[in-house]
Amino acid sequence: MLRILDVASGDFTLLIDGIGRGSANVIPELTHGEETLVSGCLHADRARADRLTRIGPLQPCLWRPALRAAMTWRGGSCGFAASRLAERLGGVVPVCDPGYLASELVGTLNLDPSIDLQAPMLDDHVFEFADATHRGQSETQMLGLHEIEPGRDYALFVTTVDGLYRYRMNDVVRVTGFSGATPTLRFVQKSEGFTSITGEKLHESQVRDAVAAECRQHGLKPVFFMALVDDECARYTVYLELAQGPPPPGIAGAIDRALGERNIEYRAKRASGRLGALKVVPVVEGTSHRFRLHCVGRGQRDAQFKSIPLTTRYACSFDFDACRPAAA
Amino acid sequence: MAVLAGQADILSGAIGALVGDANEDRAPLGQPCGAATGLVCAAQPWWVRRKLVMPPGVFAIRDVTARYRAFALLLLARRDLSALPRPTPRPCCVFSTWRVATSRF
Repeated sequence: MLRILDVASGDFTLLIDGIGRGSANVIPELTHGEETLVSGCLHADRARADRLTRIGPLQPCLWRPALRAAMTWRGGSCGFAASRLAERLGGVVPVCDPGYLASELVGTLNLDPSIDLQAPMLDDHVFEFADATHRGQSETQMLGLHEIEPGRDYALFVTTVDGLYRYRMNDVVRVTGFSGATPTLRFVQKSEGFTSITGEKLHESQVRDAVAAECRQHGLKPVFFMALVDDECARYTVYLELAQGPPPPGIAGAIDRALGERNIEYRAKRASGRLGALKVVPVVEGTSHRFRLHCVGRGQRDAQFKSIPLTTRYACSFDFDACRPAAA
Repeated sequence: MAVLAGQADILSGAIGALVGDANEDRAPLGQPCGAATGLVCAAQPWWVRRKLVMPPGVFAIRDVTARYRAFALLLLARRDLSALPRPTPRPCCVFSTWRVATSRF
């Protein structure tokens, strides 16, 4: 939605011309068939064009007086974009979170978007929870809806009428309160090894493959890397420790392209500008060791140390920016 | 359907659902692959589909710049646009949310 508002503001005069004439031929990139399709949805509306011209390109909140609501996810990494959207709509149009919705299920119904009161769809699914702060064995200790506590984060497992049985959603949800006796939930983030800023659903294996392939291609010897989601600017940053020397300047673009080859959603989001260009930040030798010590210090078992090379800044307590070389 | 009671103000306007192309690609055996949102949009009841601003073909426009310009053009042109939703498998959920939202804000 933000991108469309940007396009509408940037190409305002051009689009107004098209509305006035009821024609899509103002968009030169359209093929003949596409132009016919879009023009078929328009009629020449000079009055509308004049009204928009008077409002101008900088007040999108006034373009659509009948607009009652914009619905988009506000949880997790979508929060920054949702706030920007609300700002662009002048605070007049509510930006509502539709609830916890996924391809697998409709998880919650937002009973009151003004306070984000999302009640689980009790009649449709069985919800089970595991403490999100512990990994491994504790996840077998499932809790029911009646056992979860307000303010705590949980990994969510669902059993659905469509046939999913104790299916791990790979999402972390927070108990925000109660609606009557029913706990209310809100999506916080993806669990591990799996991120999505604008729906690209990037998996750690795709990032690992892309980084490894491009390092090989460029003759680099990677020691360690960590890809973090930068929610605010909607892009990924890869912190890269190499065995020798700094990475060449073109490595970020190469990894970016390699990710697009492995994930068509990533490619589409990059092409449309919804995702920014991936950034590579070199880190000094020994960063991987410092990261390991940091994690062990926070309770991970040293003998079974595992790091997931793709996560959000929210979930990563280590400051990789402090490990940049002095000149970087 | 009870949850739809009192939705007339929202349903009276056009719906600018923004979805992906349901037929982006083909699997090796020929099955169509694409965005679940596009499928969901196409599967909405007729009384929702007739209010959608954009026909499915618009989401299949290959040139990204052209596609976004087409979105912007069609959405700007509608003076009766009343909602910009992400489609969900259950429109009643959407409308229930809208009803509460518009009464509060």
